[in-house]
Amino acid sequence: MKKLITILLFSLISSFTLAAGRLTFLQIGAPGANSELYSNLMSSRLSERGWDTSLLNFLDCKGAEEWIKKNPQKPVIFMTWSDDFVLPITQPENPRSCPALTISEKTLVTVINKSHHMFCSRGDLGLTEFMSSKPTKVGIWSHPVQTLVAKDLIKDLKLEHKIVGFAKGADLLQALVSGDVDYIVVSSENLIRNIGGQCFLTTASPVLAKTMSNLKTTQAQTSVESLGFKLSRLGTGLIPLYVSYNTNIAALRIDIVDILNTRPEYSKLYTSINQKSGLVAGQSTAEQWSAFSSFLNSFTK
Amino acid sequence: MIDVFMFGSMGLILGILAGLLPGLGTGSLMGAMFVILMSTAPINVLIFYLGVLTSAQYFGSVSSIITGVPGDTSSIPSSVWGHKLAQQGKGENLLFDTAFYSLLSGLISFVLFLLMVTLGLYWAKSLSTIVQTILLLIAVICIISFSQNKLTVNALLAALGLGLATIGYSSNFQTYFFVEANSMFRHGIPWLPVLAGLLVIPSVSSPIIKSQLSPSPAIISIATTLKNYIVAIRGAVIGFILGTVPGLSYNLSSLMAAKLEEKLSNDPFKIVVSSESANNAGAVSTLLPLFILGIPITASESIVLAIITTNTTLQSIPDIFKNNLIIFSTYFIIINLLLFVAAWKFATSISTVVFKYQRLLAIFSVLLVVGSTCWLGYYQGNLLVTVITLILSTLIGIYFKKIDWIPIVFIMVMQPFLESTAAKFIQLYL
Repeated sequence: MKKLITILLFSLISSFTLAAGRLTFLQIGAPGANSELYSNLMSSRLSERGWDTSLLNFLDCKGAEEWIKKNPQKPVIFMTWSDDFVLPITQPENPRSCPALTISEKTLVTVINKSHHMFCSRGDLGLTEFMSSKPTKVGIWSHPVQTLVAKDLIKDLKLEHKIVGFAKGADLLQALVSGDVDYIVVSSENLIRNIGGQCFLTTASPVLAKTMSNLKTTQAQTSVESLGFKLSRLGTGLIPLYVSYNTNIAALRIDIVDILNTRPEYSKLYTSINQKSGLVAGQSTAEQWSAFSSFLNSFTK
Repeated sequence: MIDVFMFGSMGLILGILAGLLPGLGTGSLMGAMFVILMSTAPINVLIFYLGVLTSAQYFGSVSSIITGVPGDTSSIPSSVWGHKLAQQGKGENLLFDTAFYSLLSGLISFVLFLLMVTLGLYWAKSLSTIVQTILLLIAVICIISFSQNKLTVNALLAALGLGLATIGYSSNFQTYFFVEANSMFRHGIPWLPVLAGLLVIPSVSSPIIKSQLSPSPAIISIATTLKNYIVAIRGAVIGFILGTVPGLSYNLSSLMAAKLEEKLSNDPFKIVVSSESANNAGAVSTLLPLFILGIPITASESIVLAIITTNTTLQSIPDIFKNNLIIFSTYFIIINLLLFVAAWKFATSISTVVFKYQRLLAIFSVLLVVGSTCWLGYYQGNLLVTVITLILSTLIGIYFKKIDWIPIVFIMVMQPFLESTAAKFIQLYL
């Protein structure tokens, strides 16, 4: 009994003293969600490099902004996904939408993008069938980037496919297996490998989609790189981009949405952000970390 | 192999904590362990998860029966019916029986699991949105029909639970229900303080019936225990089938087994045995879609998938499972035997403490549930609403003690799945 009480008290005290670190990660999302997982990961990577870090969770942007306003002198890394970063334009009512995100010289915003998106089927359908005029159902995770990718491709190809939104990414696979939808949009072909499915890459460019053959799942990753989409990674399979002090966030958001809507090449998104932020990430993981660390040093002093 | 042993042991121990402490579910635990698990081999991640999932089921019933505080959602039936039996001096026997049948149903389910490996794809194919909708509707009807109030009262309570849980932003419909975007209730009404206030606190804070308590240790008899084998098998079969339902999984297993047993026998002992057999069986079958097809059907499984896919692009979960089937099987059997002994011995030693420190235990239980509920509210940035909900629910729960509040709590727990299924159904078929 004593041990149990001790463990309980220890866990309570630990959680309430969590905010005492020097460099604070702020993230918006439910506990256990991907945003928290990746914030944890980034935080631990920084700790390994000698930073004193802590992580704070908020269920919506309002809570995070209030915290920043109350703690103007504390160095903060505000972690957000490209999907969430454009929410003030695409879904302003969403609690994760941060229209007036406070950036001071003590705040750094990191924007994370998934490297690519692809359409996957159960295996009996491929790109040829997708491009035929027969209407079908396409499942997407209800987030802005996937929505734009799917909508644009269907519109560009003049198809009448129906888009079905799912609140959770995990529901997509079940919907595909059970036959509720014929295609799903995902960012990793690993997920469907075991159900015998196949994927074809798309960045919603009809030119790209038409020139690509019907790829098997194991070839998709190779194809991404062969098409010039070889992107730097930060050890997580994701692309981090940094938005520094003095960046016009509102303009940046508009640029990102424009690029997502009109992109002939998806990589333009990254170029655009790097130019705006004034920080060009290195090509290798080590170079990226070096750039990130020196930038952190400059704003935490 | 040393790594596997180390992560297996860690999963076993942390799973016990996840089972004992309310708020620290398997999902939260996997999230907290994300960074550590990221840097290890995928098989260690899966072994760790198997340990967490299994031990949380065993020890969820221990804390529920002794303190009346459910460690996780699947232990709610044990806290409702089991704690009353513990207050009457039958806790020790009940703990032994639940541990015994948890072992039995776990092992039976594992055999079924191996048999289902070839049928896994067919089962997943059959779980379309229509089938999921029908299963959820059956669950709602059972909750409304089988509770102890009048049917109309149950229906009203269920509707109230649905309404309360719908408050706030809906990611399915991308809009706010019943509140404005700047309201303090924009995150919704959490179900944990409602459960704590309506069910747990009134139960654990009530005066213990001293005359019915036995000062001497209970006599554990295998022959007596075996009398409930049909109840346990019935629970295990229900639990195994419902454990594969996306979203609710083994929570639905224990709930449905309990409600069915209440209808059939209305014997609290049998209800707890059935629900505990069901959640152990459900905890095994919930792994079928993940281990066979790589499809996660619960929040904690989504985290496992995120860890594995972030960690490696070369191996998938089904590949890892198939290549290490002997390790998984051996580990599962060993931890089930260990957990049975631990839960049983825990039961016999704890009974002395329960009898000796009844009042202290009641105070501790209330502090535990209040503390953990508030901690979770704080962690989610929703402390004020959590505290208000807890206070109001406690006052209502104590004042209207004779009402069976189970429909309101269960419907609140189920609401996210009801809502997402409704959203899918509308988009696909209407």
